[in-house]
Amino acid sequence: MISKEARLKQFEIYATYCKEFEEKFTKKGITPKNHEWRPYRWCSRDIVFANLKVRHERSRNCLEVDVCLMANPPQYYDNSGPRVAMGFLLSEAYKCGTSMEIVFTKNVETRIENGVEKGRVPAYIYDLACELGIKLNHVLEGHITPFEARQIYLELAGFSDEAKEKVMKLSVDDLLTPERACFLVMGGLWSTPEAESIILGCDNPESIMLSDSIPEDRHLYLRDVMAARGTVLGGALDMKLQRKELMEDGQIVESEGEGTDHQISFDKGTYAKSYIAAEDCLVPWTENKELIFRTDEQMVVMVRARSSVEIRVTSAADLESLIKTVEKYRAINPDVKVGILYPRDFEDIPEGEKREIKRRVEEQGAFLMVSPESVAGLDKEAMRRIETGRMVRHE
Amino acid sequence: MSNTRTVLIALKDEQCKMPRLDLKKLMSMALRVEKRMETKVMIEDEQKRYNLYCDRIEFYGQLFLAEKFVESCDLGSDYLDLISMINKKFPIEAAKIRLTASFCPRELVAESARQFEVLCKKSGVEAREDVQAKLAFYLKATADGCSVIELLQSWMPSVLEVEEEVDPKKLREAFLALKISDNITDDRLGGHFEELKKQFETVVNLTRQHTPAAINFSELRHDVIAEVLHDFVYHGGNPMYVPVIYADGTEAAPLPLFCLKPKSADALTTLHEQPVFNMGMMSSRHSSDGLDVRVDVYWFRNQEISIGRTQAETDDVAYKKSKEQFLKMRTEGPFRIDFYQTGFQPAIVGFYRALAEELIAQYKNPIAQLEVTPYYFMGVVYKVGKVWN
Repeated sequence: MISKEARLKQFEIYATYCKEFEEKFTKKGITPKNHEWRPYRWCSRDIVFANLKVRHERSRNCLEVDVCLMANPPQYYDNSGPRVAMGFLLSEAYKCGTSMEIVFTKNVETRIENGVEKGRVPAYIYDLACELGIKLNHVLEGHITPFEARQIYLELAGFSDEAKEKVMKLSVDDLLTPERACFLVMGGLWSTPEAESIILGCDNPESIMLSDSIPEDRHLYLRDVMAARGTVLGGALDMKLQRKELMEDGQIVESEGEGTDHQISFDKGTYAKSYIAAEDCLVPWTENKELIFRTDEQMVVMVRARSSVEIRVTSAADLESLIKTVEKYRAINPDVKVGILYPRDFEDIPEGEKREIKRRVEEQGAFLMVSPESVAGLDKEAMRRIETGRMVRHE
Repeated sequence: MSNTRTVLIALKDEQCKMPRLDLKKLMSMALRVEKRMETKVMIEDEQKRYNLYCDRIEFYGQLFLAEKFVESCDLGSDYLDLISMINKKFPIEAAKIRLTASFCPRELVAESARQFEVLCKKSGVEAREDVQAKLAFYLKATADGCSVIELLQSWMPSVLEVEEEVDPKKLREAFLALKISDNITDDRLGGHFEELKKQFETVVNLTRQHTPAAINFSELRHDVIAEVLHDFVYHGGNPMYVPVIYADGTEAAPLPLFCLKPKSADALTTLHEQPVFNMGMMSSRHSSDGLDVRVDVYWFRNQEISIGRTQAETDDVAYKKSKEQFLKMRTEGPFRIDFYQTGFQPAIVGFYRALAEELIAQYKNPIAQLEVTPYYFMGVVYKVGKVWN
């Protein structure tokens, strides 16, 4: 554990530099370049997780860290501070185009060796590496090597074992680097469950994760857009289920860090999302407004982000998939809730066909969900994400 | 899995005419956009337009499939992987025959089928069931005078594929055995030149060991890039290429190193009798600093070079434009150029990559045909750089 004096010394460096930074950049309206020192503070509401000062060190092409103060607030899970700090440091290292080596300066947890001041890999980060089962070989030199960084990053991204294995397989086959897969998640382009839908559920995950296809290659681009469209719709359902609305003075408010953490997984065989409820909540977007998803109950939703004409053409195929899904899940758990999710475009199909689809879905003991998102909106978002991914480091 | 199938439908011209819309007209407008996209000018606008036209064509194609009787053919779910493979292997030919397009107007169907067959033969996939099905469908469409629309259907049910069993332990071992540096770097040296030199040395060493690494040109001074690059291009050793990345993380084409030797005085005699061209690097930069007066002509037009959205794309444009110009100059040379360089990293890297490759191509010629002397714009004055010949 770092001493109080050492902690205060680092904090002083941080506070002094924040003032300098304000004079040099903020007040002048200048954005600092990657190779200039930048201070960051990571918080959730009024709780601070980490204070960091970093820069891209060009000669060694590494990320240099001059301040690395972390806290483990007791109300959060273990090692939350170092998780936040390392998640940021690795993402920043990737974003700046470094080799992914992280170097801590002598100001970080200073120690004296042979009369010389030296830094080290912070103890909290060392603890985190131990928790993740990763051996750090240069703790006293204050370095995390690209090899070690790769393993930490993959663990921090929060993928399921199955998805992690798929990422490893894609890396071994030289199709996608693990750093890019992690950056797309940690950088916020795709949530972890969304990224899992792509990695596990798409025929060509590397093409979407690399934003490989261009509109000129219509078929290949459309295939990626359709897969991304399904992922975005699935993500919208995740968010809807996780959202917790709190009442404050008679007003509904949403609060940071106040979501419900349902367990979310993805079934690649049926292209369906599976949820285990952490607490009671309403099943959204169904005709039955009182359908409750109860704690510890399982719900499986087949996400089909189709336009109205596509629904009409493929309704028989969707029913076939639904029957298979119901059979598969009911054989294990007779109480499982099964649904099929379409976008708002479902409302545009002729009334008779709509009724028939509903009837056949209900006949299977399943329910129909129609989200407020339209295919046009989903496509716009899918294209935005593919386009954003194109601007992100590829190797 | 998402299991995306490709379904073809054939439409006669009269079927394409709908109350307030003619699909054939939409197709011809989309074809015009395809042509414009080739120029890459205002590419994002053109891409949006193309998406819109294709969306409409495909929407009505699906509507025909849902409501009316049309000839259709299911190519299955492996067809997209097939065209993706051909597209990667033969990008120029694939673009020429519009392999990845989703529609084919009646007038182009016969030729399209013929060229598709040729390309499939070249790729060794002509015997595949989906290829044969597509060829047969296109031939029938030709005979019936129909246009073809190719539709995609995702998340279709499939027979559960038995996946190849992967031993997680072996996979992890293979993953951990992937080439990546597990070493730490020394403390920095100092100075921009030294910093970049050190980075070059590290990347060269790692590349030789087949460990992934790349030169990062983020925010470096333009004279530093050119001078250090010169040192490594004219340094003795085994020629090699090193990868390049930029501050936005995009990866550009690799740079050739250790590939040139300085020319002897004899080889340069004729060249040095030639007049010198004062060439500015890029138009509309530092004009107010008198650059327009100093130079005879600019190498890059600013408007043409600034079309890349990422730095790697700009590098690529600069490289291709420079290659094109050097190729033209071969027939008109020899040339001596004083190159008035201003700072725009990706354009500089693209230019010097093309220059190095041009000098390599001319290497066997006993009489030098090209010499470039950089003049670095340093605010008010110009600093002369090392000569490339």
